[in-house]
Amino acid sequence: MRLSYLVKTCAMHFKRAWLSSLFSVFTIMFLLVLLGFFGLLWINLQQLVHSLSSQVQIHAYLSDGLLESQIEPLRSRLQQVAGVARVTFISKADAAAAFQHEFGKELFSLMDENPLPASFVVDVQESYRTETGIRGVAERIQAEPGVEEAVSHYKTLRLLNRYADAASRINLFLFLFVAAGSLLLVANNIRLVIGSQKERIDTMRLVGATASFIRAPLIVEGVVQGLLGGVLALLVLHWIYSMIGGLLSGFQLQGMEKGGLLIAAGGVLGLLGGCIGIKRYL
Amino acid sequence: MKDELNTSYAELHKVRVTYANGDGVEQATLSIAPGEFVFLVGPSGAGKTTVLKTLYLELRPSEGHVRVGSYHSLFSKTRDIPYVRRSIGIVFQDFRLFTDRDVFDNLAFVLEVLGKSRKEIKRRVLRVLADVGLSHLARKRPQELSGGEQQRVALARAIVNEPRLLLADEPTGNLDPETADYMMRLLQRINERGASVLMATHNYEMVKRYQGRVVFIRNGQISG
Ligand SMILES: Nc1ncnc2c1ncn2[C@@H]1O[C@H](COP(=O)(O)OP(=O)(O)O)[C@@H](O)[C@H]1O
Ligand SMILES: [Mg+2]
Repeated sequence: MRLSYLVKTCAMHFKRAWLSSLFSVFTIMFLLVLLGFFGLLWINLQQLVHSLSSQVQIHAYLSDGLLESQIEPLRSRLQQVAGVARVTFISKADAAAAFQHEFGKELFSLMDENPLPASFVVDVQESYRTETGIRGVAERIQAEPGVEEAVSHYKTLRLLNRYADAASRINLFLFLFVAAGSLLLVANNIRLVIGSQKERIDTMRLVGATASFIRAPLIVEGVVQGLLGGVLALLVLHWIYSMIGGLLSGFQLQGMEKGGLLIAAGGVLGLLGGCIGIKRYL
Repeated sequence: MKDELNTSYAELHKVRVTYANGDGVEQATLSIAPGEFVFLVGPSGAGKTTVLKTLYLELRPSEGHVRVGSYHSLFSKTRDIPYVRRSIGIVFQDFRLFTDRDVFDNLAFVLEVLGKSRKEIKRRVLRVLADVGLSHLARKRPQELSGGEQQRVALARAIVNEPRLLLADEPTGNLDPETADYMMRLLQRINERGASVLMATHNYEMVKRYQGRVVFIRNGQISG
């Protein structure tokens, strides 16, 4: 089949059912925007969880009564705890200096004694940098005598993980919804294009047209509708991103490089919708 | 089980085709040799269109067989049918022109199906339109033409693929005698160029004035 014939036929079909074609394109766009939005949310939450887990450290605050001579043995014991990568000692004086550096106040001018405890800052091994991993390490550190309290931010991680899970579940649901919607629209558009053409299509067969010759333009139309919906959805998401990006300073939004997937999803849905429409209405 | 002495281009052999209500043709045998001009003559309702439909493979015989070119109804596959039809030209009794495109594109469609290039399509369509005296109507839609003009467009579309066999169903049926004579001369010219022609008509008086083998059909029965 010549390309120009294909284009001409598609244009003719579009003229016959332009309203429904446009409706298909824009509805697919809308559905893909939803899908893309939650997809991007999921990607960004995962990214956030990942980057936070690599930063999470455990602060093991030491009991005040701990003797100088007990510190080195404690460090060795902490070093042995499963999941611990590195242990750094922060003396009371270091803590005070850090406080002073951060807040710019003379701590000792307010109090007669340094109230900050000495601590070990514990970096966690790569494979333990998950919510449960970090939590486990913190519990084991806490159990060591001489450690007053082991503090980590695994709860923040847990919360973010939960959001990411929710986003992925919404996404799965949306995907089914989007798939069903797109298939229905593209198939219905074929019904409208074919409309009262049964006799014309019979004549085409009688002058030697194969089934695929008659189907090809209809399939192409479905794919084009899906692809167009995908491209438009991507543009809308870009626009949403630039809006949100302006509000969030510092945090780099991710995932837009996967935009091709959205267009591909549109194309595949258009293709399937076309096949269904042909099976049902031709 | 193909015939050894296979001199015909198309044939019906003891064909039975019946519609749901029992009408149709029975024991229909007919063969068309390459280059032959055959008239299928019979009154309205005799079964002429049914015979033609069987030959262009729209109807399938429940008994007997039909053979056209390399297609044989007992041995060939359904998916071969489009390719057989490309070697046939059909002038439908009701024309069946595409009303959604102009005369040029009506003819061009047949060549698109054949996969011809744009240049080839243009060349052939314009030549055939000139042949049947329709060049000036190329950009009109069929519904804007008179009955006689539509009849000629139907013929032009049937021959634009240079068929081996032309099946014409009442191609003079609605024409005044003068235009009918013009149509007959066109059909003869196509026949002289090598195509077999089978023309169905109810008008025996007219047939007598032209060359060709005459086959009669009445109540679904063919008689030589
Ligand atoms: N689609 C159909 N369904 C039922 N009967 C039909 C159909 N087409 C034709 N017939 C009947 O079959 C017989 C032969 O019809 P047809 O081949 O069209 O005759 P002709 O072309 O010679 O006028 C007629 O009695 C006609 O009424
Ligand atoms: Mg008839």
